[in-house]
Amino acid sequence: MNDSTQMIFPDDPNKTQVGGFDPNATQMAGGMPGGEANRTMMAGSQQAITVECLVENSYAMATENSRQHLVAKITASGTGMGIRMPVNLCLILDHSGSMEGPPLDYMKSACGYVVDLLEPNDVLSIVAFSDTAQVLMPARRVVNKALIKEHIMRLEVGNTTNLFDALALGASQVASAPAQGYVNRALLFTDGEPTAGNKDFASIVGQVVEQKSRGITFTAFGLGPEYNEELLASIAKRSGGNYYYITRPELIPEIFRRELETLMMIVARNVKLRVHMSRWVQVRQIYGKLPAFGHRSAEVTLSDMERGETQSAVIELGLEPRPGGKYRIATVEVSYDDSVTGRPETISSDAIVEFTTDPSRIAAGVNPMVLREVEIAEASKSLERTVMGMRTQQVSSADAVRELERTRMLLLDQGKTMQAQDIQKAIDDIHGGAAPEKTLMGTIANMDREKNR
Amino acid sequence: MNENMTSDATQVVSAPAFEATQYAANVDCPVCHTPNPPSETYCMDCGFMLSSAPVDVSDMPMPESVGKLVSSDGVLEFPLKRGENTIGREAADVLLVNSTVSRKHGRVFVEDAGVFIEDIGSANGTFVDGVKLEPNQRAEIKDGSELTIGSVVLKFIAPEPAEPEPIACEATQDIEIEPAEDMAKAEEPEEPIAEESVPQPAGRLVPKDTGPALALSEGVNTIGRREGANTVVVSDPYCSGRHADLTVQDGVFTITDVGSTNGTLVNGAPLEAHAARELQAGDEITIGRPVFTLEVSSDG
Repeated sequence: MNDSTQMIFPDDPNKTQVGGFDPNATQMAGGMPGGEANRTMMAGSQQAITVECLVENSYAMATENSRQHLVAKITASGTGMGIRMPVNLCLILDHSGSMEGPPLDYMKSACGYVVDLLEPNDVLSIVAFSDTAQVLMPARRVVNKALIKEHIMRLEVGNTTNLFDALALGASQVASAPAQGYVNRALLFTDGEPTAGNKDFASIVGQVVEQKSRGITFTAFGLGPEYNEELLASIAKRSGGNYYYITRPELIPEIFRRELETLMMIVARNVKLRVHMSRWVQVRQIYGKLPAFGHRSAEVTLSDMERGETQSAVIELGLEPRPGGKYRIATVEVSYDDSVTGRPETISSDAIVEFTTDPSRIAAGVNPMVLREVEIAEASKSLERTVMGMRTQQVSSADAVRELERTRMLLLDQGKTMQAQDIQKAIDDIHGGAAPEKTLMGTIANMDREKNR
Repeated sequence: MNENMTSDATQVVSAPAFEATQYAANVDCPVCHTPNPPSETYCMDCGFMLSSAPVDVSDMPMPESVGKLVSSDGVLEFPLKRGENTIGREAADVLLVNSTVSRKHGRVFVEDAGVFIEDIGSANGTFVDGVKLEPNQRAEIKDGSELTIGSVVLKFIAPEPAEPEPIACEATQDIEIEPAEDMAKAEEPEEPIAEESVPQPAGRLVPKDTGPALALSEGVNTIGRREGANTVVVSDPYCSGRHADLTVQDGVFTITDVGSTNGTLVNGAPLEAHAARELQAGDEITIGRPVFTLEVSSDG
């Protein structure tokens, strides 16, 4: 266990020497904490986030093919408390026909609220979309709040929903302001399915992934029963942002405030997790993610991290037989941009397992904490299945409620009260004749995250 | 055997003089023989803790090697087991997290009579070498068969005999290897993961000692220790993961060392890295440690 939490290797001048002679081996070695991360450590600055590897079992059979889970726990420290990073925000607002009445009114007042919370250091832009997307206010510092609110108040209802163009325009507004030292984020607010422009799900998500590669993160707010929760959850997930389901228009201001608070606490952006496998090890899956596989590596995007937050990645590995002894089966490397310094950082942790010929040691080596995380990851998967099953009418309401009730108990057992409450809400939705998918999509998106503040 | 290995662990090949000082202090991993800088705690390749000694498992019963499925880019690998192996997007033996793969997509059966694949009513179908399977129709697959599962392409690689053994038993010193042993075969496997096997090889690398000849095809043959990354795999620990490129073009054979640890020698003379050298039939080529004779096909 001690080994598994080993974080940083000493800066090793020999590593370059290795580089030349085995390109494949180097991929592992070189990929591990680079000089950059080490130098930062030495300079005395604290890491904004830490990573710890926990193996399901500290033993594995040397004479068998086996599987084992690995949990990478990524924790954002509480450091930097008091300092709030300036934000570079774009509000991407749906003003299609369906927004007429209270939704538009509440959205406007919520935006006014956002403006009130911002300071002259922050940058704000506003994009409005219906049939087309237009810049209501280009990116500027939040100095004249009254003027900005006037812009917002002028918004009137249009017709259709051109989501694709809106995302592109919003991203370009965020990109037009300086990135260094800012937490940037585009907040997408919509109440409907895309009905104009490019309506293709894959193209829209593809665009988000592309914007993400330029450092733009989207948070998605869905209002009411009509929007596509799968699309909005994907937009948030693939870009490292958040997803919110807003049941009633009067809740818009409160949820905007919650997101803004979250944003102001972000300590690490563009968080990526990469698993480097040793020989005779395969990554079978990373729960809830679509890993990009490389030679002996698998990489996934994680959400931006706020202070005090913990995210877990549950990784399933396949292990092949080998001579007995202790092995580093994998190294988990997390790279991110520090919001305070703006610098890219890399941290890593090793997963160590002893391969034994004695089956009795396997029973003794189990880490119950990892098993709990695996259970939660499985629960998240089964929720996804329930959502899909309900949508295609392959799962009856009664079956769904039973399944949800089971998941709720599991979450309560494991102290995930917030998620358990969400499930309860979904159960109530079903009993009240409403569709629970939108609530559940949010639960799934947040299953691997935990906030301690 | 293990004691031998450990005491020999730091021994680097009778290294060519021009590299001797640079790697003198490397520690050879006692398990996979990868040279590691002395500062490494764990082997950079197999992850073995370098300060410890491995436990010999060569006389323990090992799982039977019945082949594996490897993705077309060599990145995903699924060792198969005897009997039924499920293929699917969730909780499957061959786990393919891809939206074009059904949750329960198909099955591979490893039996005495052969290896078979079956589609169990998947949405996007299963193809064997481009031929679509009817639901629940069994098709036999052979070494090199290409399986298309939804949009994922996998290749079936037939078993390599006694795979874990060379790990445990292989000695770092130059000992005679009994030719009849399975492990001798495993040291220099026959055409492993050749991307496109050409029916008539342009030439062969014939080992001086023992083991099967390695076929060379027209074009670039990448030589190295790492399976999946090379068209010609030399499993000797003194061969680098990527060691050299041997190009065959219009009957002309050239070899280029791509920056290997222990170098490439032609008739005893070391090559400079990244400098191509033309070869003649009968030339002796040293890849790290093992020595091969180049044989050129008459019509190649």
